[in-house]
Amino acid sequence: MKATTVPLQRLASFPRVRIQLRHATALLCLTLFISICGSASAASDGRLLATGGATQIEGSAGGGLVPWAVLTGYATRDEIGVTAFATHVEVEDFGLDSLGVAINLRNRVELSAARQRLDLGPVADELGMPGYSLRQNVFGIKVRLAGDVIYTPWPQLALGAQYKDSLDGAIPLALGARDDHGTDVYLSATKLFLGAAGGRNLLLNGTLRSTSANQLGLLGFGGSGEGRSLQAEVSAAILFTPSFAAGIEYRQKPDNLDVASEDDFRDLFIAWFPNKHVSTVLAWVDLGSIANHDRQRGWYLSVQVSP
Amino acid sequence: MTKCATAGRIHVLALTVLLAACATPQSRAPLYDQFGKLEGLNAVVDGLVERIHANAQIAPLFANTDMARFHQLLVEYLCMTIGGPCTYTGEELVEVHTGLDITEAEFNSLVEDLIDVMQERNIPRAAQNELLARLAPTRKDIIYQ
Repeated sequence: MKATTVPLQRLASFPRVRIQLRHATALLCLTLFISICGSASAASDGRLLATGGATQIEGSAGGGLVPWAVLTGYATRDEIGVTAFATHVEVEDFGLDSLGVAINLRNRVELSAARQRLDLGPVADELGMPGYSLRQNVFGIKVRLAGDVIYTPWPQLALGAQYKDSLDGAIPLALGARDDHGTDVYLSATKLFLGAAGGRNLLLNGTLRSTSANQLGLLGFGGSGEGRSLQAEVSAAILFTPSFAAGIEYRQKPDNLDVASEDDFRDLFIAWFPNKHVSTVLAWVDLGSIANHDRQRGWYLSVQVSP
Repeated sequence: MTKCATAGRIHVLALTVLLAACATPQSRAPLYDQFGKLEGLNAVVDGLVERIHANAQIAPLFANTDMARFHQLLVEYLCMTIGGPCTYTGEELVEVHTGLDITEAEFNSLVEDLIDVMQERNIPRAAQNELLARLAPTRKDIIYQ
């Protein structure tokens, strides 16, 4: 975390450096990813099915909207694993695509990179920019601090950060956001309680996030009001079989912009883990009000694959 | 306000549905009976031993194991774990596994075999999970010893 995000933020205050940095960072990440993939040991499937979760909307291992303390894929302390994901969310007036890759280093550190694209729909027309979308890159790191989601009596604990950088920062700034980039820091606790839900396994997750992101950062960071704040996120799921789960999530969000109020996110999901190479999450989501368009409800579909 | 209330209600409903499963009282037979007593346990361990031999990842770990004795001790251990009328006559788990340096992946591979066998033997899912819950704390005594 120290090695990447801190210098990034410092450099980011110089616009020209920052533009080059975006490409450099992306290239560096890709190179690192591919080289580590190439040298990764053949086996990276040593953990039990579903214990890597899915990939949440910002590219970290988790449920749909909430990052969990689990690390992506199935690598154990002796293994290195990689995953890739694609997610599409379709609500009343907006579409959101998220695409990315992640690597699990010995079930201790997870590095992730994702690109989000918010299709502005009618808002683009209102702005006189039909077909316009807002894009941002999200670079994540998550470190497992302690515990195992199944085997230890205490939950698995992880500390994570998501550095987010808008590629279309002019609009968030015009809307009153203080910044077009920012870093979320979160602490997650996740535990699978074997047989706790009427004989079925129960997964509970709690995440506490420090953030200034408006609508995940797609509408910039901060505003005229409070900047960084603590937000709570929770998930609960029942595994009806080792490969099939259903659950709910709630993600509290800040409300920094004067021009548009922001609501908490929530979803109901089903997840299917046919094997350790593929997982699919289908959800009904309620994203509340986005850019003054209320009742943004709809569907969420996410697929994760790993070699 | 109405919107929030409606959304809130939907979530309360969902939560209720999800948690109803937890609260539903189940008139369950004792765990030992759900496994089919000693006969059922013997069948589970038979199946597990077959799978161990067929599992290239963990078969080498049993190269020097007296499988007849392993079979007997595992039945005793599982029987005791699920509240059956048995006494485990083997050594402490740490001692048994010392020197094997069993990895997390190898441990989980055996757990997967066990889950598959229990499913194949039609052990109820809740009983399977209860056994796994009781076995989970032993992992620390088994891996990387």
